[in-house]
Amino acid sequence: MKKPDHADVVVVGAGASGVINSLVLAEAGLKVVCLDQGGWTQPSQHPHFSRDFQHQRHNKWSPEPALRRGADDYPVEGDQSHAFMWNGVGGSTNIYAALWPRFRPSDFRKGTEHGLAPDWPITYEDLAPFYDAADRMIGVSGLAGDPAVPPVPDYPCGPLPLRESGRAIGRGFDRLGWHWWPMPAGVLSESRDGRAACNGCGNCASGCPRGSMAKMSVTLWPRALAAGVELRAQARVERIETGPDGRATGVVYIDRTTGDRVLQTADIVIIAGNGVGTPRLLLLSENVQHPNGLSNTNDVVGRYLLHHTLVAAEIWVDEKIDSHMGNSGAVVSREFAETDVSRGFVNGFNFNVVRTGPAGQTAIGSFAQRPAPWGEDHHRWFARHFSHSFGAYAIGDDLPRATNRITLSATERDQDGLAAAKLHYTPCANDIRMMHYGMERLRDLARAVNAFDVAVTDYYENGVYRTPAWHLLGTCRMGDDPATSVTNKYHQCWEVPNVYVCDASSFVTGGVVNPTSTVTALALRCATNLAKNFQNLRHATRTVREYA
Amino acid sequence: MTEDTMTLEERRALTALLDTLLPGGAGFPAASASGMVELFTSRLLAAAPEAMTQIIGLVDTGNGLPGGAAGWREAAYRIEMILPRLFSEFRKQAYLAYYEQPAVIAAIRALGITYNDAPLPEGYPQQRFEPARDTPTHGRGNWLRTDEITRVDLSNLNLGDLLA
Repeated sequence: MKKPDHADVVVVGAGASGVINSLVLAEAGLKVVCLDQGGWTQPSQHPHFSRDFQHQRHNKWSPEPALRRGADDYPVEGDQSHAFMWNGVGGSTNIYAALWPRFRPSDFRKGTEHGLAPDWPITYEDLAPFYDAADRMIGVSGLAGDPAVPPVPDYPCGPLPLRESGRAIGRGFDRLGWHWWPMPAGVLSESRDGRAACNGCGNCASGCPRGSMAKMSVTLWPRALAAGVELRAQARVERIETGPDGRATGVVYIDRTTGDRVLQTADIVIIAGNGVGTPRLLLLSENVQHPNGLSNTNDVVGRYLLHHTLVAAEIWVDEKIDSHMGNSGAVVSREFAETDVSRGFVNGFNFNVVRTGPAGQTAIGSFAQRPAPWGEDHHRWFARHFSHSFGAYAIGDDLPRATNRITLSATERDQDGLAAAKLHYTPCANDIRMMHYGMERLRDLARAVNAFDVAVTDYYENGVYRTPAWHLLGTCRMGDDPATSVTNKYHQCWEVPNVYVCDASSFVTGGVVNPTSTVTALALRCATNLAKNFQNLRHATRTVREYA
Repeated sequence: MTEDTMTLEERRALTALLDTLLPGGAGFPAASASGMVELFTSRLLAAAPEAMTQIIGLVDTGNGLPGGAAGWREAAYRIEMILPRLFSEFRKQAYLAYYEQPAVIAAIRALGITYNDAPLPEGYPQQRFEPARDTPTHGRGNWLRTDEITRVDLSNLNLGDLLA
């Protein structure tokens, strides 16, 4: 086995969290090696320049590895939900929509609020400075002053164009007397740091080859490489090695370009492989000392998978609102974000109101699963509907359940022979009640904008809820109690004190918004604490609740 | 079934079925006139070969291919009822292939809609966010500080039911 020079820190995963951890620690003067099982995605590889861009969204640019079947992917077994991920430099920022709303204080306090989920071990106020700093790193566009969230500094870039679609949606919310605000986004409204401003091409669903959207391979990786991070692509980590003292000694990876196995030793190991890949790696790392997988004596690794509840409506209005143009996110509404038990459930949901898409996607009914009619009515339907719609998601805070989980497949393997991930997820009655309530509110919104047509979906297929919310959260959650969590509040594993888990698997609850802004804030906080305390933590033999 | 092994009759059946789903009219070309058939065929055979085989197999009920537009519509309805999942895939591939054809894109533009062949490089004209016009003035919305969050009264909810 090859054994390159020892590193201070090895980071597994080159996505949003991996790059921020790598960058901060390298800028602190540490020797950082980052490994990713996939490669770089060049701008020319995105489908935006080709007329078949819509078709590609359903195969090699699908956000689902099961449909994409790329060489860099590993299988995710299970049919209860879709898994949204991209394996390669930049991670899932290669394909996300970069919607950038934050959690609010109550999202961290569900234990206090109702007790059907735990509190986070940190508060909004703990994370707020890191949200602000991460926004500056990313170049987030938005409008400060939203009365439904804690005050934020002016965003680095002004808000993105609201367009006719956003204004039409806003009028609908105003008629209902509901909150709404322009959606913050990790998309440039003005050119910055050598990246071009968004030109409204309308194909955010397949990433952004211009770099207007915060795709980490073009936003932060150049800076991280300049800081000295050694990034090794095509390096698939198969296990974390531990020594007799219980500490990790490093990771073993397969160099996919040569087939060699390589042991990368390091003082600190950071796992940032997303809510599926991270628990998978901890489970794959079982050994005599850790027979249930690494840091998993309590059997929490992989459990409490959260996706968010999701229901949606495509809403068609008489006005031509050019719904195939512009970045995807238009408006956010926090009207139903807080728990109100009079509704019959705990937790709340958010409206993400978005632009819909190009002609083919409209015809196949990709947003709300209602395709255009075939036959003689088709063209009349298309002329009436296309460019006249917006989409509204009601995205809710699902309750964490131990039975919703990631395990290792007993049958499927990736191309290197490693066990595939197996995903199991079903919403509980509270979640389903919230979804039904959300569907009624979506119909209210359709009426308020005088829609001539609306299609509402609960994403059930043959009796199985298959949310395309895709978010992969909560599977190695942080906490104050080693019996019920995988890491402490600094992302340090309770059982292996020099292994850190830092990505969306660290979430305790999912909030009601897209997770990437919180992932980046957590990553910045994790790396900042680690850099500040590195000389103590590099030799740590136990994990404590609170750093001095 | 592969592209090479498709018979002439199967190709005719496929073309007629596509024209039934996407007939010409209202300024739009029929599927076969748009130039999509070969592209559609190769994609469907790659993605869901069973859809092609079974759907074409159902067109002929033993009395030869349907006659006339009404006969083909009846055949399509029948297939949709018998094989809903495969028909759905067939229709999806047909729509996606159709709407990337230059003649169809031209028809979309003729509706008065600005529509690019592909998203880039041009993109679409960007408007600016105009604060005076676009900033919400409703003043609605609130949030709780961490120290304001207290227990909600769950007495009217059956917790066992909620977690089921």
